[in-house]
Amino acid sequence: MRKKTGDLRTCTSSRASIQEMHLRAKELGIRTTFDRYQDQLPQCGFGMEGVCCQLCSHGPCRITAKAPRAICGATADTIAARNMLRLACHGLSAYCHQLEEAINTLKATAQGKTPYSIRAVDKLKDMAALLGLDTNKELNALAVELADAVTYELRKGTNEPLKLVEKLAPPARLEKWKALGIIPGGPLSELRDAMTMSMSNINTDYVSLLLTTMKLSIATGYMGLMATTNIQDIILGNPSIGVTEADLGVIDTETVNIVAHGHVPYVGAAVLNEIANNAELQAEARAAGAKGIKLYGSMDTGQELLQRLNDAGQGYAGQLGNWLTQELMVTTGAIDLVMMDLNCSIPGLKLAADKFHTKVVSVSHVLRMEGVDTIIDYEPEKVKEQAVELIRMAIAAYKNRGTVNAVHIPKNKSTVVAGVGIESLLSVLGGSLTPLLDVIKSGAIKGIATVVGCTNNRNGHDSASLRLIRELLKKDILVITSGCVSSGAQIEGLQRPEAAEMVGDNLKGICKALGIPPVLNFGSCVDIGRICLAVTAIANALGVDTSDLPVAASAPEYLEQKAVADGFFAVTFGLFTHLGPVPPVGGAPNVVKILTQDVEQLTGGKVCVEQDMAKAANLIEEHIVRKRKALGI
Amino acid sequence: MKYVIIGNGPAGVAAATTIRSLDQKGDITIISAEGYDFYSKCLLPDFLSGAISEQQLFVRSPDFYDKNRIQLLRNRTVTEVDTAAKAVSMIDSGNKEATLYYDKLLVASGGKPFLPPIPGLKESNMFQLGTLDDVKKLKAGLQNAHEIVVIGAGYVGLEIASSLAKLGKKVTVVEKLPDIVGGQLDALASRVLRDGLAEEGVSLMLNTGVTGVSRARDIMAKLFNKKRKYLVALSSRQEVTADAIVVATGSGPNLAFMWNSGIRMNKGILVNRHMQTTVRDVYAAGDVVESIDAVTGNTALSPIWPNAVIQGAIAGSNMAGVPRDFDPQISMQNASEFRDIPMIAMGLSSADGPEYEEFVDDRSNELIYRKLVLKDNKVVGMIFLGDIHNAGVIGALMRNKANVARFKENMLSPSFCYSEVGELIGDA
Amino acid sequence: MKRLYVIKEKCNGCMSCVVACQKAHAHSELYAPIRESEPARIYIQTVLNAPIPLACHHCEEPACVRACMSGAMQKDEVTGIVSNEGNAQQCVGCWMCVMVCPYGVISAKKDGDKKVAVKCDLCRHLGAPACVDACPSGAVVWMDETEAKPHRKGGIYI
Repeated sequence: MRKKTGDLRTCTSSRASIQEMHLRAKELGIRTTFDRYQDQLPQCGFGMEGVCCQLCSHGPCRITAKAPRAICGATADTIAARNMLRLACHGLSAYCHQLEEAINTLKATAQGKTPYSIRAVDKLKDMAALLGLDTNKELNALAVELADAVTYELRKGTNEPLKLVEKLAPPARLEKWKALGIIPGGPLSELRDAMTMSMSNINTDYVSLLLTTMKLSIATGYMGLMATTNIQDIILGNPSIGVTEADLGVIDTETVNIVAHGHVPYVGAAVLNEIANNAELQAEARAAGAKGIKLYGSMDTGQELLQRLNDAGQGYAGQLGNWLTQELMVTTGAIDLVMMDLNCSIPGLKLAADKFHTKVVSVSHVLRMEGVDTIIDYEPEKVKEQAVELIRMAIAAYKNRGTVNAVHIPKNKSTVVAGVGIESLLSVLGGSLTPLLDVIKSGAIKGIATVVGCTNNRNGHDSASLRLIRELLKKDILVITSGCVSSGAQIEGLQRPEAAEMVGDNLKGICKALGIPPVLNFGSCVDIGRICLAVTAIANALGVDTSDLPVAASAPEYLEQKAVADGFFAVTFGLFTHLGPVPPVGGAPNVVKILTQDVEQLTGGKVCVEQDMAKAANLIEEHIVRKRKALGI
Repeated sequence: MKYVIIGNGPAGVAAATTIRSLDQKGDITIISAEGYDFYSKCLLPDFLSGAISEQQLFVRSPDFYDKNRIQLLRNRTVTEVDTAAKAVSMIDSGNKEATLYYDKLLVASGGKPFLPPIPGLKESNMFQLGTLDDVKKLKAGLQNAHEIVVIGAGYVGLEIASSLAKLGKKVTVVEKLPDIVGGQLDALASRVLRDGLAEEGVSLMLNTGVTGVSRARDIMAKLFNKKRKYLVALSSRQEVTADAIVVATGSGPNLAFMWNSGIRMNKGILVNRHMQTTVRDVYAAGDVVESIDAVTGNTALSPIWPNAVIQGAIAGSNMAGVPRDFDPQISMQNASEFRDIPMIAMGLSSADGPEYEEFVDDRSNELIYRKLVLKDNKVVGMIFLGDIHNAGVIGALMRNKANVARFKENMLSPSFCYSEVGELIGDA
Repeated sequence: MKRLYVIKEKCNGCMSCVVACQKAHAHSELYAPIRESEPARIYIQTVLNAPIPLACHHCEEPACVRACMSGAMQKDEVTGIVSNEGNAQQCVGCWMCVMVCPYGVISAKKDGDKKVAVKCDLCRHLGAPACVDACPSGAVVWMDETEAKPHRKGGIYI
């Protein structure tokens, strides 16, 4: 007789460890994102199609055949475009927050007030040069100047074009953007104007609203993504190749276990520093009965650390998972403390932690959660003491481990090769992009797909992104990942050189020759900036525009507002951009037409929505083949 | 055409109504052993607990018999059926004999409670639950009773025990079998129902038989002429005192008067798909019948209201000359609510061997427990406790022997519904 | 005779029908849908990612009426409405109807200190079902039986 527990289709995860933990959660009465998704079904079609407007108190209005316009007269196109702009505003504003935190950390570090140091000197100088600073200055003084200059860029008016855009965008691209009038000024000013426009009855022209969204997305790309990535590299170190492990099986039952969860790596890096160097804390942990102290990563904070295993990420104990798995990592009962920063910490995390001894702490002044009263908001100048306090809290919590519910850790884990960035890629390739360009030209690598973004239960947790990646690899398309998709690929073992065995013959040969895995990890979701810089470098090396390259972007499980801003940037940047979940514009015919067709004539990029990942891979391949033909390669 | 129906229960009344809808002219006579219009025996526990009034037991309007031109003979006990002479013999309450001739006869005489052969039981202050009169007697007898022993922990015994406890009585339920509701639930489901029963004033003694009932040896009571209690002796060698004893050990077909009729019977009367017995013009329906079980394919008794109504209606149609087949139903099925926990069980309660599959949704900590038993990708059993939504959809799939392979893993999910499997269920 | 029908493909899962149903049957109108003090008698289920309304079919030979041992569940011979409300006999919550309904459209509701079965009554008190009026997509419709007959796809679906 086979006995199975009910609700078998509830947990859509492709991961065995998550299936196992979901069953356990069920037994313990923990409801997870997977379960609440089922509770929410059906989801209202008006919201799904983006034709529900709740901005004013005349509303909510929704567009139907009977009522083709809102009470104010707005059409479906106005409503959908306006909502997209508002979503993109949220995304950019969160990136600006992260950038400002990076700037503050850089400045405090230059002033010797943090445990970090200026690690990527070349990058500091490069960036200073881009902003017109005198790079011959003493390093710390230069870093302070850079911090001030980026702050100025962040805050300046909309009438002053962003310097990084002008310096970093390929010339052909810049011309296109100038022609469209979408070169942004200071992101905070742009946000102010965009939020104003998207208020009721101010900007109701969907074309203008979409162009504004594109403008914001350029600010997102060059400031939110590229500037943030660069500054983080300066203080935490450039990515460098290293090996670690991923999945819940990495959790050590004998150590005090801390998880850095979110997007911002500073507190995690400080905790790693204390674990490595503070003998007193180690003694305290041993006195509590533990063998030691470990810091694991979850989501992008983990990706930031594992990209820098030879620098600020030294001692990092492994990647536990991504957004959809946060409750289930706690359900192991072996996590003593979770540090939450910036976005993607869900209220359900606390509900799961309440079934265990697990302490949940906010380490960011923007993050608050019902029931979480332990707050150690990151301050660069105090982060060393904050790290000590957090470790002590974890040791105290460790003593209660197993008292509420027992420890249960799945066995699954896999090896990860991480740390790809432009610098490490160049060093692997012998200092020049030429070997990579050569194999692309020869067709041994057909093209590059950047598969990025979140996890989303709508088409199955990690299963949509992994399916797409596998299909692309079969077609000799090199895959670059970042964000939550990276965790999925890591756990699936796709970021090991041995994974070359699973891919197309040509790509397999290249991977073996170059000693790289077929899926390259570029890091966190902010590292989409790193990907864009790499794509720019390739375009510049070939002397073409980004939209001419055999490159495509995909966010097969996109979820939140930062991803909306990223997605718009990919299209504006000239990339064919595949989305898995259907964005809320389906009920607005003109918006759909612009995003999926017309925009291609303007930027060279366009949106392609396809929920069947095999078909999506075919569409990406067709696009890449078309671009190769146009380039004559 | 003369239609005679023995039994004024759901099967008999359904048959009479169906006949009348098809034959406006025929004479319809219902013979009832009781003195009442059609009432619902299933409601007797609710009447006992005071949840409903006596009036509410009568589930047809008072003019039902007149409107349908049905003659109801009350207080007539059938003594014999002579199929050769097409005659039904009966006696009334004054032992006066009478004979009624029929063209078409329906035997729908229902069930009769078992009285276990326990020494001293019959002579004690004992109550059964077969009829409205029985329950009226019990209701009156309970006035002065404080300690009550209920023999039998089936649905009815437990329901009675629970409502007596709510009235402040001290109740002991004694059950011979190792578990409650005799095999219709599995161990976990019955544990959910049992847990906390003692705190509500019902003590449950399982695996315990009653060996005898006698008068308590209470000298004081004897001296002062107080009402003496009974001693219920148990197989565990314990004794329980009782002012009253309620016997709820189930019931069997009421067909003693049929043994000389020449009609083939097993545990119940055997019928074909038209609900016709082995003798022409004699039909049977309800608790007295053995019909084909949709799950096992074998014949079985099926003493449950919904099946009785279906059988009565089918029998009535065929009696009135409109041929109609009986579609096999699930014999073992029951719906009930006990201690605020609704439950529905059908078919097998547990897997019977390696060829079976079980799907379980165990939220017993929230008093919810659901289970499906499958064999060869067909549902052969279900227990829904606490959350009974969709039980009928599962039941329809069971009845239709539908292959559920495509969606079996989803059947206990909240998203499962008729719309997913409509083509396997069809139209009603 | 007019009946409730559903055009599956038109439903977009907005649940307007559900809210309208709850409001139409709630004693105090405000907040009843949110508090769910009055259960809906029409359901939107998600089948293979598509929302599909489901409600009582008011069967020709309703299994629930046959199974009802309290006499509460009746089919009105004139209107064809199957309901256990407003009849002389009262529902006692025995759940026989839930057990036999092949559509799974009967649920339980707390009514004072007892529980009763609830199901679609086609808004008898309003003359026409509230869900039909509330549906912005034209998925839930109120049309004549004879008109619907050639389009029927089983159950209430056309």
